Amino acid sequence: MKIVLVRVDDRLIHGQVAVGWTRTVGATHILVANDEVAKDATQKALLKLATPVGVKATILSVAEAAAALAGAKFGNDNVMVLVRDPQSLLSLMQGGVVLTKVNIGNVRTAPGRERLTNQVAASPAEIEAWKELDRAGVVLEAIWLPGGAVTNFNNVIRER
Amino acid sequence: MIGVLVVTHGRLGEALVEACGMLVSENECLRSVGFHPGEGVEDLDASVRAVLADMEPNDGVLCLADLAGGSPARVLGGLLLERLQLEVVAGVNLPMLAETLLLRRELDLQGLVQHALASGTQGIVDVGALLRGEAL
Repeated sequence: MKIVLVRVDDRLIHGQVAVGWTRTVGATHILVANDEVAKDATQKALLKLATPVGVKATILSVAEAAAALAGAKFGNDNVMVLVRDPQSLLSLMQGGVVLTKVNIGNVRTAPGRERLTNQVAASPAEIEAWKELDRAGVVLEAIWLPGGAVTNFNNVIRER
Repeated sequence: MIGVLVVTHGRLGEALVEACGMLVSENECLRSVGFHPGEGVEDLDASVRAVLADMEPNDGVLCLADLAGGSPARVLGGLLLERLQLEVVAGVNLPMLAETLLLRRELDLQGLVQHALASGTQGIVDVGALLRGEAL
C-alpha cells in the first residue's frame, strides 16, 4: 500500500477528483474518511457513483480509516485519501498515520467562515487545526486542479 | 504532445472546453471550432484548416466531433483522408474530452483514439439503476 495523495475537499469524490486527480496521481483506490458519510447509505452510494471505472472506493469513519491506513490494509493499492476538514487529518495522525504532505482543494465559503485563499475557507476550529498541522511539519499545498498553480498554505496559515 | 480539436454545431465545443477547465488544467494545444447558422460547409472547412495550421502539435491531432452524421464530422472526415497525423472520433462528451486531455502525453494517436472511445462510452451511465442497485 502506498498513499499517493491526501486531499482535503469538502465535496469528497466529485468531477475534479474522479477525473483529474485520480489519473494524475495514479490512484487505484479512493479512501474517503468521514464520519457522517460513513453512516449514510445514500451519500455512500452517490460517492461510489462518482468513482471512476477501474478504481476502488472505500468509505470509512475517520477512526476506521486511521486504523486501516496505519495497518496498511490496502494490499498493493495506490491510495488517495479524501477528507472534508483538517481536524480529520489530525485524527488520522493521532491514529498512527504518517502524513507528510497534504493537498487542499475546495473548502467552501459560508457565513462564519473566513476565506483564506480563492478556494479555501475555514472556521475558527479549522484554522486552529491547520495551525497544528503546520506545527507538526506537514507540507500544506492549496491546489485546485492537477497541474494548476500551487499556493504555499503553510505560509497562508502562519500569516493568520 | 497530441493536439485536441473539438468541432461541433454551435458553441457546444467552446462550452465543453470551458466545462472541462473545471476538471483538468490542460489547455495547451486544445482548440474548438463551431459551425454556426448561416455558415456553409466551405466556411467550416476553412475555419478548421486555419485552426489546425495554427496549432502545430508535435504528435498529430485528435479531432472530436459532436455527431457522426453532421457537417463537423464530415468536414473532419475530408481532412482525415488528406492528412497523415489526424484522427476523428464523433460523439464527443465531457468524460471523453477530459480523459483525452489527461492521457495525450502518454499515448500515441491510435491509442488515444481507443481511449476516447472507451471513456466516452463508459461515461454514459443509468444513474437510477446504479443507485438503486447500490442502495439495496
